Amino acid sequence: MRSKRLPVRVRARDRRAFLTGTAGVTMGLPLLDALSPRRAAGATARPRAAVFVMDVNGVVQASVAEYAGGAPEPETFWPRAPGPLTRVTLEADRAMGRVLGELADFAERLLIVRGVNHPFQSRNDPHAGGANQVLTASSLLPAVGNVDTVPRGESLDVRLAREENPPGQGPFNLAYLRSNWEYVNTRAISYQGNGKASPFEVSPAAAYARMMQTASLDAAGAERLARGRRSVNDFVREQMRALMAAPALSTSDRRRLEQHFTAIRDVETRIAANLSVEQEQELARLGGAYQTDAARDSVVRLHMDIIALALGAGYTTVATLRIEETNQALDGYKEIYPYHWISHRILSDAFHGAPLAGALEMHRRVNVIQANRFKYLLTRLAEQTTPYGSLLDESVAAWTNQIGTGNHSYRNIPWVMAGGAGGTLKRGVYLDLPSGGVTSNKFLNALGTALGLRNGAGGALDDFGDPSLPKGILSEILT
Amino acid sequence: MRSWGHRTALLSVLGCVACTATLPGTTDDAGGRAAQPVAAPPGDAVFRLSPRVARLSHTQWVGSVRDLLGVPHAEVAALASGFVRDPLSGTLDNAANELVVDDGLRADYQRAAEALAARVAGDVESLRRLAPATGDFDSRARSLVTGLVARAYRRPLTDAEIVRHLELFRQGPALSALADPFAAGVETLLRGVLQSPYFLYRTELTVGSGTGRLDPHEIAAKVALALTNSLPDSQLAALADDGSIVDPAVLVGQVRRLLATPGGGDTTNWLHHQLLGLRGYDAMDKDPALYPEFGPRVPWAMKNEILLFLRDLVDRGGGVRDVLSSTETFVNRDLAPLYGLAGDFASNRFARVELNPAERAGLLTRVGVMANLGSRNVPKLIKRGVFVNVHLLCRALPPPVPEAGSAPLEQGRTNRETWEKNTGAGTCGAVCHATIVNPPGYALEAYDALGRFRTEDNGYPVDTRATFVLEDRPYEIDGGVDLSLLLAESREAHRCWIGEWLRHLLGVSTWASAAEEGEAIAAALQELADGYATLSLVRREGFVRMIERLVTSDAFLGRSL
Repeated sequence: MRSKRLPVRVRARDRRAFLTGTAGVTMGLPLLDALSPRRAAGATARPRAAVFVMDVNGVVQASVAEYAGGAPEPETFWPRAPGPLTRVTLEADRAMGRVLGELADFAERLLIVRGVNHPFQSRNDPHAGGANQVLTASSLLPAVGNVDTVPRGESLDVRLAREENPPGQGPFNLAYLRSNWEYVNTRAISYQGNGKASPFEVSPAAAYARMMQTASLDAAGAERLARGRRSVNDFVREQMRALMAAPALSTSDRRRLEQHFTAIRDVETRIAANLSVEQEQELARLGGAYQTDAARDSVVRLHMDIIALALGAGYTTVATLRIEETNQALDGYKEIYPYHWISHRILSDAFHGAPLAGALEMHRRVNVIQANRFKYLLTRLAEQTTPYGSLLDESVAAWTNQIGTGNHSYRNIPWVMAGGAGGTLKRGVYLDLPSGGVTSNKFLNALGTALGLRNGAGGALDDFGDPSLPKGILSEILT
Repeated sequence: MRSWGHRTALLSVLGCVACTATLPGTTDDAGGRAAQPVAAPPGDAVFRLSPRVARLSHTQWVGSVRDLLGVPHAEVAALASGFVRDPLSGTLDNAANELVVDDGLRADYQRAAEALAARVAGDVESLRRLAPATGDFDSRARSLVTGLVARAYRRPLTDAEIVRHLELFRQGPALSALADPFAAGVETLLRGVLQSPYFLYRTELTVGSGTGRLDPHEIAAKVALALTNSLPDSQLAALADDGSIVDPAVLVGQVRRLLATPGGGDTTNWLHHQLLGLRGYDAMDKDPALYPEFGPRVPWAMKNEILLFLRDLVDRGGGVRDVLSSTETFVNRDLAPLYGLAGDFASNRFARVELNPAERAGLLTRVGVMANLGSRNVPKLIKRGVFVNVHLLCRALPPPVPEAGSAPLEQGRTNRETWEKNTGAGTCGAVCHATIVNPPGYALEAYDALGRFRTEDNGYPVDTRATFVLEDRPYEIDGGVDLSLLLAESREAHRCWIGEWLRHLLGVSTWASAAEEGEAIAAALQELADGYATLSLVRREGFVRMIERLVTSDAFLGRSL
């Protein structure tokens, strides 16, 4: 049975979603402007949302072999020629087996960049080392027991959230991963700096519920709940203030409490729009089984639906989605092989084993599936409108990978953007960077600049990433 | 063949340590179990660095809510399963200097508090259990505040706090949908209390000058959370109220009592679960053609065996030596054949058995540990070596050379031969692999990818001989039993396992980069662990004894004022 909804009931697919306060008052996008620290200071009025999707195990591309012994592989990923992208060129690419041809429907809105390289070598697990650097361009620290790593610096999504989200609200991080603890902390995409991963949500239902706190109440109930929350918040704030004033606390004790205190809000940026009936049924069908191979496609789609809803309603300005696929059942293949085996081209997770026949094509097929998942997200974003145009055009949706190739190359990391960030990023073009490309800090600087970030002097962002790296900005991607 | 010469040499070194080490207050009989005050290695540096506000881990939140409100565990755990996960750097979930409340978790706490408050206040039976049924509105409310709320905060409330809580209670009828004014007050009060920092954080706040000790309620809260992942129970709370908990003999008695409660057992299991990454066993997968005995129940049984083995050992006064050398374990119908045991075993009942001492000794040689360090079809020789170094010896391994893993490996006739060709002496990985990582892996080659004992690999005899360097001395070992018995007498292994217990009991992260004081705490804890390692190694003290010493020591009870 469906519960009663707020009076303002908007289908995300029909119109843009709305924010509500806990009293159920519709507020729309300007609310986020009012709540965001930077926007409150009047730096910019035009919200630009960003979503970063990270897949694993690289792509099949003709990469310069980074390590001795890495066998050369054919090119199946990038478009055949740099320059303008059109539906026609990408459809031709697709016909030639090039993975990015799958995105032909969005050709004019794409920015594809080949030649972005992770700046630092892996210390151990190359998958973790790569994931650590994707959005941080940071050097790596040993994690617990030194078996894996975490990055020293913060990631771009965390920086964006700090400047664009309400105080205390980090990026909206979702993940699909099987229930295997090993990969939880060292292969994340979002990091708060000093080696600390950001929290992330693996359950689409929990993520949705967090966004939709008041949605199941009628107007009177929502109003009463709002009043109750204000009273309780006042009560909790008094206690927090008293606790924070305790002289026994250390600086770090106080900092942790301040983070908590900042997160207490009377006006909740929860959204009154909701997923479709079918999507909600799918959430219910999944129940607790969202960390299995069988649930992957469904979970990824729901995560994308929820991210589109969250960005469209201004619940957050930045989201990440990390997809750790394991076993990939491919049409036309009798056997199901672990994706990691496929990416290593052998019948083993280790570095040796019998060759896995046809692995190259299987890997390409997985990349095709990943491209189509990204296309699904683009479609969801394009369906929503903002006062300035479609949500997709006002945003950046970026698709990337931990590593460049199955043999762990840190060169030519896939970076496929769509949307143009409200006209600040180039669109409809494939750039193949000359001279072996750039370290990723320069690319992230440009992306951050396009999304409104600035350096300490108020100029274009040019100092993001590891301080040991030469500063700079890949201005070729900016309009 | 085993070589005992090295072990004699090792023991003589340890004997020397015992002669010279200063152990304050260790005059009691090492085997004695009298509830007497016992001294422990000094821990000033540890308490000076420990956090003064320690957010409950999600496990502790579940235990506390369950015991406070009497709501079934599964129901509370279901609420917490939707909480933002703590992105911890280490393996233990109660690292308080890393635990924060961000926007997402704050919203989760709010939702959970509202759901629980509505559930309890709307249920006549729960209300009857938590609040007095008779008396006027105000006296019932006051009784709730001084009873239930004090329990939630793990301390009595001040007069001003009582007034403020009653004020919130009286707002209930205006803020709740419940018709009964008292129930409405309970709902509103509980919403506040469950989001209160005094519930969500364990605190140590008394100030003064110099150094001192926690007050009785702080002691009770710290002990209860460390040993049972929950609030102090009524007996412990009463000892805090009358102040007698500060008597070390009383405290030691409580430690023993709490460890024997279901909450105590669950907490010990949870520590082992986290330390050994048992959740990862769920992803175990084996080639059915090679391992027909493997099925979906087997990983569960393997986890269960390890938890039963370790818990039983703790309960019976065992220590690190027993973890690494015991031949006792528990098996069911799924596991017995993997150990080569014949008999009539039930599928879901575990029976205590004695394993063949020529094939098995301690945790490392248990089928689950070996199978988890095996791929679908072959033992993960390198991962086994890394496991011994990192998890059993707490060694920080240097990163592999960048080219590792990119070239196809030269195949050998056996798993060992393959890795010898590619990582052993004469290769680029010679130093790290040949002397540190590979030797334990070689010794464990007698266990196949499912953890079964084997004498042949690919039709060739397995070679389990190796030279392993421990505390700067090379030891000749032959097989997993030999390796385990060597580790069981090693200070490095005792210090490592004890260090994990100390991290768990003190609830701190020692991970340098994630926590501001992490590096300093790590150094202080290392020193503390070294002291306890001596007690474990030389005086053969078990875990319970260590807990008793720690909990009554400055490292646990002390603080700067």
